[in-house]
Amino acid sequence: MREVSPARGPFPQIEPSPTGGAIELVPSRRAGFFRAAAARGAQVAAAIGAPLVTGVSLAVWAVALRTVDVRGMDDLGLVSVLPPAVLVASILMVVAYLAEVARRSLRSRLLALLLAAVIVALYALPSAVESMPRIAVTWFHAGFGEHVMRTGTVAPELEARFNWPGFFILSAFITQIGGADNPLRLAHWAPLVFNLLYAPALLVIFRALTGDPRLPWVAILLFYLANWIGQDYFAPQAMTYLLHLTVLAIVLAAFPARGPSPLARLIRAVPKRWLRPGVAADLAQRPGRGVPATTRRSGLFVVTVLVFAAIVPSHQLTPFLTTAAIVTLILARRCSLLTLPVIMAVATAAFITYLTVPFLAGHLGSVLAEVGDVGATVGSNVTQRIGGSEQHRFVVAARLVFAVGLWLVAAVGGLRAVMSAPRDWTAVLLVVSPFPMLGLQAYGGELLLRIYLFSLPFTAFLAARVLVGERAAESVEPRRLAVPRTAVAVIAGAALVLSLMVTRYGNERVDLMTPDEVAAVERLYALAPFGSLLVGGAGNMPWKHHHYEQYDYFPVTDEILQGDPNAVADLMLDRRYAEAFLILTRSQRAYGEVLFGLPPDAWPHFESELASSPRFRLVYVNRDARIYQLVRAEEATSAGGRPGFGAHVADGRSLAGRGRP
Amino acid sequence: MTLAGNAVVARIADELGPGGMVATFGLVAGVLVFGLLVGRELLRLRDAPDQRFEVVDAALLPLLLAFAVAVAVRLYGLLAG
Repeated sequence: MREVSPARGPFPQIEPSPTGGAIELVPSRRAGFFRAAAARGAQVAAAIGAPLVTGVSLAVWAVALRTVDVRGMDDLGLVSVLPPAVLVASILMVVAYLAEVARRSLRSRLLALLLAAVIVALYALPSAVESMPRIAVTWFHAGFGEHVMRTGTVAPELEARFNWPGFFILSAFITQIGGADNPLRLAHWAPLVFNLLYAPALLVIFRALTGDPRLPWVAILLFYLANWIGQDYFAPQAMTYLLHLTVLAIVLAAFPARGPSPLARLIRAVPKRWLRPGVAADLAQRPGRGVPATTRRSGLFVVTVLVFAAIVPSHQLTPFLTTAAIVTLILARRCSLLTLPVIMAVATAAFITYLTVPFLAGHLGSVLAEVGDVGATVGSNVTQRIGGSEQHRFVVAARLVFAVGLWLVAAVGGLRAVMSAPRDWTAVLLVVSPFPMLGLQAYGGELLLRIYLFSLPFTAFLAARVLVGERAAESVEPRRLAVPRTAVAVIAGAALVLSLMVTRYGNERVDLMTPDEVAAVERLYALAPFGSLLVGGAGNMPWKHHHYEQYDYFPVTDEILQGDPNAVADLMLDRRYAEAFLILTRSQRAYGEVLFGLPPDAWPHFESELASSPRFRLVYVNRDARIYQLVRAEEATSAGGRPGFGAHVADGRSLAGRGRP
Repeated sequence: MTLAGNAVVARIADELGPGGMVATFGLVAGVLVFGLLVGRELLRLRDAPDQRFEVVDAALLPLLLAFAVAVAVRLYGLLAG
């Protein structure tokens, strides 16, 4: 990627003709002309190459996606049905981006556009090939928002998550002013939107951490190539993560501590002649940019407090992680707002002790019981996740290997950051700051994932330091990347794209929700009167998205794993409910097979057992779902206990025409 | 004796709950602490004279203590209840 400078390049020697009008090349200089033309071509290619490659790749990506059949997915997830053209196009976009980063002069606006294209290629994939919002929890969250829209209030006793209703209220508000009837309309493209929104905050954070203009762009790309956690769907944590990054970006950019850190002060005490050449000069400068004026800083401080005030009622975990990050910045002398952690602690404590009482009243004991039990937390976060089908175990192993690999590379970058001038512990401490949460609770087996996510910006930053190089990371001057380093970055980028497809979309067979499943759930709501008991083979299905509080829900995964219809019927035989329905869907089956290793013939076998059971009546069936109604004893007696009643139900039609008014 | 003890416990429980004295005072203290801390930081960002901080700090400490006690008592109440 060498540029030929016009000043140094052999430009053609053109002489005017004696007649004055025509131009004629001197024959002996023809070779020079061609060399110059080639040089000019190389210049033009260097100027438009990256955007051209990205544009063409994006077009190829979009066209190739039209051939994807998501129903053919196996337990490796989305990667098993992606055409090679999609993967090649994504890799080319990453390569074009890195080539642009490696240019002598950075074009920030163009880089931002190329980055947006990469984010689209990596994060719009499932939304582009699936017709329904993915991930079952998305549907529950839409249901909370719909509850707010319909009733004008929240119901914290319904579900623990409803005790932190900020996101659901906001989604209801946006849905209402948009004229839609359900927040589900916002959910389909949420991962892409959230990831695009993360980028500006990340860029500000990275620019505040280094004076090098190139390092932030590499770090941000690494962040997106390593974000396999998938917590950016339509969920409170996706929004609060954005707010968390915003708080960090403001604090790092606008409120640097006055004076050097204690560590830098110690190094400054060393006589300059003992230091390596350049180190003394490096110590004189702090990485990062200028500080805004006093008035603007006051405004930014108020914004910081307001943003944090929006985090507190929206998510359980994020306030603690944001506070930990701010405390870390103060310890690293990168934040001058010494009272900010106290403000954050007061807001969090007041909200939890006063406004989450319905949750705490029943769970405080169990929450506190997990405090300090790091072994159990790590066990539930790591070892219990290694299971399921053979292909799924491969996906989980890939995630673990990737995470450990990234942390190792970041460790090298961290060592360089703290051992070479200007010594800066900030990123290293920010990587570590979420880890004390391990001592608090297991968070349903998800805490390690959240820790990975909250440390990821800084892990990516330190890893990028290794790729960009130590000297380049320290320098405030634009510096081109060396060719071998660029080659390594390109190869790593391509490998990371492929890895992301496996690690991020490895559960896609479970996360996919098909139109037939949605149609079946809508039919279920039409069949079941309010107050009914709705039982699912697992909670993994597109339900609860409206009239959440009008039904009781119960998953019977264990009973299905045992293959015992009578155990399911016994559970459903609760006199408190006028009606009880069982729904079995494709996504539940995928959940059992992928995550629990259910044999492929177990689900059809259970369905045939249900069909022959006199205790169930098949009332609806389509390609991806079946609905059974519980037959109570007296009803079975009057009907003559006809087994196999459901065998006469036609596809997609219901025999029970009774619906909710 | 037992009846009197139960009455005291019941009264404390009432005061901890919504509308109770401890709960209300704790919440007011929390809101004041929040406001004072934000105001203090804004003053500092505008390089206000030191005397102003002394006034704010004198008000902050007892309020912060009161809020911390209220939070601890409420958590204990929730745990015991």
